Amino acid sequence: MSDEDYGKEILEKVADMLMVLSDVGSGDYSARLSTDLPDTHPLGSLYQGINEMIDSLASEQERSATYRKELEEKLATIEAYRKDLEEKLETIETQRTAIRELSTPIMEVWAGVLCLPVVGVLDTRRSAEMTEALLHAIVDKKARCAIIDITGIQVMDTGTADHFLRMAKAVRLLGAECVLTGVNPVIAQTMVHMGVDLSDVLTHRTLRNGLLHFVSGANGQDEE
Amino acid sequence: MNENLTRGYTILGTMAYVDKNYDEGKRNRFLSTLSPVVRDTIGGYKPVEWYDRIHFVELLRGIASLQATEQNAYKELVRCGQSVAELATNTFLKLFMKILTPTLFAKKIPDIWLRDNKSGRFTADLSRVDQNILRMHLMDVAGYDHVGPVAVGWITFAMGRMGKQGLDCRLSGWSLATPGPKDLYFDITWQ
Repeated sequence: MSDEDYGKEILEKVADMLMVLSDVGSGDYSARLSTDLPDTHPLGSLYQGINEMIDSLASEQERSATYRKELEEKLATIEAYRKDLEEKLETIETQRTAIRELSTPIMEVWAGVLCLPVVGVLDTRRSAEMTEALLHAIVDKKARCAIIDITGIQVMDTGTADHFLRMAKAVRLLGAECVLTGVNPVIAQTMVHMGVDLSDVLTHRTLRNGLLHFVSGANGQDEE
Repeated sequence: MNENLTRGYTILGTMAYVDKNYDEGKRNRFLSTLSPVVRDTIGGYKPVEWYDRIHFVELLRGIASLQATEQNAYKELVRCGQSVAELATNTFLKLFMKILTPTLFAKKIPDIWLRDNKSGRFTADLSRVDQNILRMHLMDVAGYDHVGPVAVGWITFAMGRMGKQGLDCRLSGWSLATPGPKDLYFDITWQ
């Protein structure tokens, strides 16, 4: 083979190489160089090396595609979880609002007499909400007295007692009278033991007694 | 199994040509010529994927249909072919173009065709290349409407990149009446 023919052949092989590399560059990893070059050919090793490199790239590309697919699936799952969680949080918030409203049931049990039965645990937040609701109800209904019934309270600590005292003071500031009813013997003992001063708050053993106190007062009758 | 497939980048390149050169009104008229299937796929083509060539053919038919005369349709399709070739020329193909000679181009034309198409064959007659004459033959392409003028665009783009002056590429076999003949011939001359 003359030098010129040899040069042409090499150029042709380089052209093949560039075409395959162009395919790979465009994202087609199926392209390969011809492997029919004899071992002695000067470009044989280069062809082989390029094919190996494409094999490696193809393999990585495939792995990357698998990872991407897995990631997309996981993202879709996370998104589904997120939506589910959002719906649950929304439900919880709705229920919380309902519970809050149910936990502060202020009833007008007689003309000008409001009753707030307290059940469960009274923490600072709930106490603030109750006080706010009670004060608004007193103003709205032009109430002259409010009965706070704690029959449903099983345990009384200093914090809870303090909440009731503050509530009673706030009611009095609006010109209404506040009565604490439903004080059971255990709570009475606890309050005495804790040294809680309830001298400013009128108390009755039962809600019935408390109600009679106001009703009889309104009718000019003696209480039971 | 349908083997009449073409690469996604020929379709994407054609759409890019339309987007670049047609105003909104003309583009809308062009789009109205397409089938719902092709219209819905625009934007979803991937460069190296294979698609039924009918997608490409529909685009070419659309381009041709907007021209008043056969001569204008021919010129427009050639320009489109040149644009598609230019867009498809990545870094390695630029290097390929740099070492390309008419002889090498003629030898490689069958492979170049098969990179982008799974049907038809492109061959070249090298017997008069020393007289600056090449005759190429694109065969078994019946129904591949307008691929002739587009191939003229590809050929002239490649020859232009080789720096050939006085380039002339004459196409035989194509007309608006017979846009997809079985055989197409390209007679290329240069100075």
